[in-house]
Amino acid sequence: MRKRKIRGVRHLFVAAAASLALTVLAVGHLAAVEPQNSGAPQPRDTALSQAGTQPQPPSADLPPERALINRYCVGCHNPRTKSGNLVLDGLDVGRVGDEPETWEKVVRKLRGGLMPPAGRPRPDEVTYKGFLATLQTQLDAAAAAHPNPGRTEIVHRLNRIEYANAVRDLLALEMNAPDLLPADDSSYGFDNIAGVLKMSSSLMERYLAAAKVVSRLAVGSPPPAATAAIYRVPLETQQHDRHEQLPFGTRGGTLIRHVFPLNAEYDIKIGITNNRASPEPQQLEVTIDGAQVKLFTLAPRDQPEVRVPLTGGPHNVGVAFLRKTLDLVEQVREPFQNPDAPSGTGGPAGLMPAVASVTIVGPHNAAGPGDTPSRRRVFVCAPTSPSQEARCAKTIVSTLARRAYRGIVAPENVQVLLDFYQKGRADGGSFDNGIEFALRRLLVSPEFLYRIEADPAPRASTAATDSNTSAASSRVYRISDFELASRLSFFLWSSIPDDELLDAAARGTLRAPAVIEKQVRRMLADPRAETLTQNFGGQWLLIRNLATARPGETYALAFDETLRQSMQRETELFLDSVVRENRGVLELLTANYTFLNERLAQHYGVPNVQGSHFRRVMLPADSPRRGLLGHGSILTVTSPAIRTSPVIRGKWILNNILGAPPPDPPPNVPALSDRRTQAKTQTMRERMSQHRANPVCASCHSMIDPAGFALENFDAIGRWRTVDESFNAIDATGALPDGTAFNGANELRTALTSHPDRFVHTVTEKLLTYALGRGVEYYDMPAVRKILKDTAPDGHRIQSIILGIVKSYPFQFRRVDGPAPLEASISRQ
Amino acid sequence: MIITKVSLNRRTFIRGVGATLSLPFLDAMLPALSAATASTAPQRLGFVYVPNGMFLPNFHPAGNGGTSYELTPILKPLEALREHVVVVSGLSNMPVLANDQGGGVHTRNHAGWLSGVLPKRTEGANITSAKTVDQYAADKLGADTPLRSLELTVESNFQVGNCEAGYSCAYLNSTSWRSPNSPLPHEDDPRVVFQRLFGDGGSVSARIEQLQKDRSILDSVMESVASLKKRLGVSDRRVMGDYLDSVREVEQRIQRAEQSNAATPLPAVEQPSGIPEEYDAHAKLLMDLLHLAYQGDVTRVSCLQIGRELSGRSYPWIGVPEAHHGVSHHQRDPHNIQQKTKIDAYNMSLFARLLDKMRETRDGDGSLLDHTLFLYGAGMGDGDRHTPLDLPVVLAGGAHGQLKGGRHVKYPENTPFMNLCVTLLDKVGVTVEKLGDSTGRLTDL
Repeated sequence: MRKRKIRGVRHLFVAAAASLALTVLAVGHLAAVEPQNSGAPQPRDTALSQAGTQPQPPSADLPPERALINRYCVGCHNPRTKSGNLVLDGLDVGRVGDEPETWEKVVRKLRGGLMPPAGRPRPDEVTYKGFLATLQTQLDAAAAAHPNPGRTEIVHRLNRIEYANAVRDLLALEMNAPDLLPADDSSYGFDNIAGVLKMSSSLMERYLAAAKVVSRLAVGSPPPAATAAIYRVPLETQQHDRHEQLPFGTRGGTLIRHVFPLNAEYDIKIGITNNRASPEPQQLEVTIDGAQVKLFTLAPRDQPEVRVPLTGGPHNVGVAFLRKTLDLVEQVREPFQNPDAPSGTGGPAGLMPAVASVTIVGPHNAAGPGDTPSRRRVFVCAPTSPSQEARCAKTIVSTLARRAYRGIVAPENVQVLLDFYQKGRADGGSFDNGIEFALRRLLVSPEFLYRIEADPAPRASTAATDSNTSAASSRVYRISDFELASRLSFFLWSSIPDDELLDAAARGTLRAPAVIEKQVRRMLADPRAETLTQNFGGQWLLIRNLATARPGETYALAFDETLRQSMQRETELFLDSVVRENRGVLELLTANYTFLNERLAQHYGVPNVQGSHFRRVMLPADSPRRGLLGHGSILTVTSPAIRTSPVIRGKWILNNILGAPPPDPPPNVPALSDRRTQAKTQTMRERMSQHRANPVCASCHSMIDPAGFALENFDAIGRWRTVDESFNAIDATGALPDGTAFNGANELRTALTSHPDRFVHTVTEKLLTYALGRGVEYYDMPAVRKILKDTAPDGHRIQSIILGIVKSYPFQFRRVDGPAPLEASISRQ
Repeated sequence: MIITKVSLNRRTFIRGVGATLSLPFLDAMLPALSAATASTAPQRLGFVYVPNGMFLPNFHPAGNGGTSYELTPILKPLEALREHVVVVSGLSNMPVLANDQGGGVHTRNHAGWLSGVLPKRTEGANITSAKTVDQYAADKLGADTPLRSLELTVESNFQVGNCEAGYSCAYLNSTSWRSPNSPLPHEDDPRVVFQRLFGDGGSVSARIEQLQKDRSILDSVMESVASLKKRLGVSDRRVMGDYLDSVREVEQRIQRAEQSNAATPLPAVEQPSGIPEEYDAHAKLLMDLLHLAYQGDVTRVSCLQIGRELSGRSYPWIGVPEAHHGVSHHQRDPHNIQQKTKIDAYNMSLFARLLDKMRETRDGDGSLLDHTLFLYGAGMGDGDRHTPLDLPVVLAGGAHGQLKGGRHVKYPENTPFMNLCVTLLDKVGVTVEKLGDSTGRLTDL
């Protein structure tokens, strides 16, 4: 590994030299040529011209890079104006490695094509790219000489989704995270960032309460009293059609996966809305795991209820109406989906009765814990006589602890759990009580709640003693195989490692490239990898916010809960397909397919899609629905309640697609006072023109708004349109900051993918942030670029990128406590 | 499929199917919980935060103060409570103005609201703000109650991407900070709040047994942490310190709960079943629980976020289909001003409802409101300018005779808001020399 690395470094130097030569040529060539503009509309900005001085003439004495910077950059980035807090005229461009943080800023702007700003002179494309390549090569070479993998926090609390997944994998127990724990603070766009996952007394109380509930359910001991679990069906859910997971011939209702604590009887109570006299009585079916247990014929205002005997463990409870021909007629005739309509005038689900909630109450007449998946997972042995109990208890808690603590468990940690086993055994009177209490203790252990990556003890740091460790990297060490196993599983599964991963770590083979690759492929094929879609994708693309999006009354007739869920499902299925089918990440923007059901297809105007189930639908080349930018989910979460916002959409694209977040608003933004802007006849473009009129605003909004304009053909809930709310024709023209012009979503897509590096870089950075649970810093950029380069030959396939991250320097190495990110001045109160 | 699942213990009976908690039912338990006798009524303090500033001409009364001021549209909901409130004008929170810091005005104005300290711009482990005024009060007022303080929010923070660049979301999620690097989580689920206040059911002996088990677990965890700390590097002991402090604090709380449980069994109560779908019901339910917490003397210090800063919530049921943040940038457009004012008056009506309930509740020799001091306000003054100047402030309650209501008090422009905060602490018997940029006490309150 080390040897290859060194050779790699030498290659880099050679490449750097070559590319430097090329750049010199290019720059030399440029001197004779006028700065080129790329033919894009040139919004000449008086403000900017005033702010900076005119380009400097090149000087023959200067190195070409310095001449280039002087000519195109220092007009603004000088000590006087300090635009973007960046001063470029004092830096030694021959020693880029001395100031990596500053130069990485420059690289980011250049890669995004953001600088010089639109309207200002720019070097030609070859020069531009050559200069960028020079900087990157130098930065990479410097990084190779002084590697810095960054420092993940020593302790990293599991967030609530990870906690629930860990419970699922440790105990074969499906829990709903929000039932157990509060939401977590997020940073850098993700809620798994170690530094801000704090502990507090109220959170500790929640962990204690969760441990009590989880350990009881896992072991199957009786709850102190019967409990009721209420599952609500959101108000605006369509119920005239079949629920995707319920039988044909039914309509509406809901399917619930519920964990029943014991072998016992349970009441299933169904709340019905709109249950009044109907021309033909409605029939309601209750199923357990697909088998009918009760068929009700509803009388007006009935609140049906049935008591059923069930075995402990998870079951699927289905509730649905039998479909009648009449329903179809009702649905066509009734206006639907108006949440504001007074009840009885149509309302959310038409005139038909609909399921509003399902309440499960129990257990009654309990008869033991039952043979549940959790018990099978926990009780790996069963004592048949009291003399066997101690040995079996030890086996059980050791097995649990190894998985829960994710590695080798110190004997004293096992002993702590055995002590609790003894107490529980004595107080509760049974072997199971003992195990339950030990489990309850385990679930609040710091070793379970925190991922711990302690700095190696100075004398025992065997991993850091590689022969060619330079002085600069002596504070750097390779993380242990068990730590690597945890990083892998929390990255790809948002959960604890499974036995296979732990075994590979225990053998010390996990870090071997072939082994880790095999493990990554296996993990990505596992159903647990869906968290990459829901957790990573949901946060990166902001899909998570769809759940709380509230389109205003303009959209009340067109937007409902079913549509909301369909939008979310489309994006999840799409992301999942890209990962599972190992497609190139650019397909996220360009794919010729998506996933639709009838509700969503109707919304999009895609014909011939019938029924509530999702299926893959091929899209023609000119379809605006190709790729993520055509997804209703994204178009909705980037819109405020009552209209579209090119600013929010433009910013979303800069942040999440181009990876070039717009700069902060400048200090002292003046209020846009006394400006009446909301006249109904104004087009969006006219409204946004104030961003141009005000020079301070224009400096950023000329970058932000245009990409948003390209999506103006989509309204605030993602429907296609050719006129806006005021019947003005949509003008969807614009240009990227680098000048690439476009008209409409399809051309925007082409423009965004014409520089694949930008998007691939963004995806990689976001994934790396999520994988490490810390912000990605300038010193991580060489690792990102390496992944970009390594995955180019196969078209940046997503699994190759994930593998690249897993094998990357920041993922496999860690810096020991150095210049502390924590300020010593912070004193605890 | 999104299903909202909530489980609750069946202490009494399950009220219909799909029942959410009905409010009159909570009232039914009030007599059982009255905490105070005439001589022992405690001093209580509460803070209520509303986001996105206000349109100030519709908040600040005209004139230079006094008792005969005219209620503005946003203050209108307080009409029936006029004698119990003091409207304050002229205060600014200058330390968080920070015009040279670029984007992040919502973050700064909110995070520094109750401390007068500029939060550090970071998304990393070094998030730093300052201990907030409510927590200074909790040091003393919270020493003898089961809960040291109670932090609530009506707005979930399970969203992404709507925090300001360079600042951790923690700054927007937490109004209350225990220490410069410990933002306190604000709970939004009424069921969880209920369980924190009153436990999760079962007989008294069963509850005590569970508490004792929790205690033995915490004891043991403390020992493990001690040995774990030895493995860790020096600077990060701080992080395990968080863990240890939390464990200790819960343990103390359990001790107190064990004692109070032994003394008075809780009334048979049905628990809230989770977060109501309707915002209005959600806000009212949380406020009812806050009222119960004060009344039962479960806590004496609270901090309630009615809305999260930057909130884009729409309020169609009061005729505001637009997003809150959007209309807060009113740009002097009459329609936006009208919509923003509707939202602020609506929030004020929620607060008025809480005050009214507290006034109707007997507490010792007076009402609960007589023995409580509330500060209601926003971290921003004008919602359009997004500056912490001329903050809208309402004080409410009698604070055991320390606050005389029925007045509008106007201070010279840009009087430090922190002067008010230290003055409020004085009134509840907590002495802090200086907070943020405070320069002294406010007279005339």
